Amino acid sequence: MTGWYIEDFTTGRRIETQPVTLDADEIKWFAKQYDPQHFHTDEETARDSVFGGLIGSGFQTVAIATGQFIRTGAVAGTGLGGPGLDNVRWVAPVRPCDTLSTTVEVSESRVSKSDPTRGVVILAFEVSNADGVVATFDATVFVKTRGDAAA
Amino acid sequence: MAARYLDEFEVGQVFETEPVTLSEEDIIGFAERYDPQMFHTDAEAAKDSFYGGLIASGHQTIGTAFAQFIRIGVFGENSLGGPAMDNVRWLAPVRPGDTLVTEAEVLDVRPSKSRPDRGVIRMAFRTSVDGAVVSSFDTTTFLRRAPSEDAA
Repeated sequence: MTGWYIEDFTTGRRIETQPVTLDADEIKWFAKQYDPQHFHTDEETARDSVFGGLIGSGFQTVAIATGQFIRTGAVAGTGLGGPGLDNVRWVAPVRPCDTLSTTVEVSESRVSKSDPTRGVVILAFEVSNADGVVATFDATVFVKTRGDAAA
Repeated sequence: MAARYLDEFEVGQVFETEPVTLSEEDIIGFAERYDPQMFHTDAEAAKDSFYGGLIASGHQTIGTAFAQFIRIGVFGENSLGGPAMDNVRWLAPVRPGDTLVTEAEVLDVRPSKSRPDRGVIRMAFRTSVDGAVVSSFDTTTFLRRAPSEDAA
């Protein structure tokens, strides 16, 4: 599938992603490499932590949400990478066997003034488990314009 | 380094982390799970992309930077997790074989008014390859305070 061009990213448009379930092994695999704090890597000591048990790294939650968005195909062949994230908020812990659902909404979209072959989109991500929202963040992404495809 | 309490950090302190090199295998392994775009997962296809070759996911760059800081041990058991991250900027691509050097600077140290046993520390992270900054971000973390002597 070819992804959306900047013209398709209309403000308010929403993209649902496939839910994904995170197990303890994946939490620990990620955290050992990218966030080696004991409440992300060790079930035993995590029990005595403020979290009362193993929780996923917030970096992993953001990365999972990004991965599920990429898998929708919305920017397949049209995405040109991203320059940043803003307002990352981890509002509730993610625990082993949580199923995470991510909704993405277009909050801003414009064609570049200096380069008419591309535009900039700001996407508002909201990640939830069965109990409610666990994380939110805004991702900025560069996307091709339709004019570029015709050229 | 031993774990420090919130009270032992000062605005402007800078922590240097150990360098770490990302291989092509590391980059592809991460991206297949967390950022499956062809310029992160397919070295051949990436040659024809805007980036001219394989580049690491920005999520891997910031995770790597944070892990190197955690490995210093200054947060250690005193970390109570973090509620936020701001101003994540990916300024230049990271390619296979690049060695990442991260420094973390204390931006703000604030005891909690409602919870006297803890406070909030904000840190600015900057990651460089060959002296040029490739990414930066600011984290907010809850940290324990030193036990007060008259707490009992």
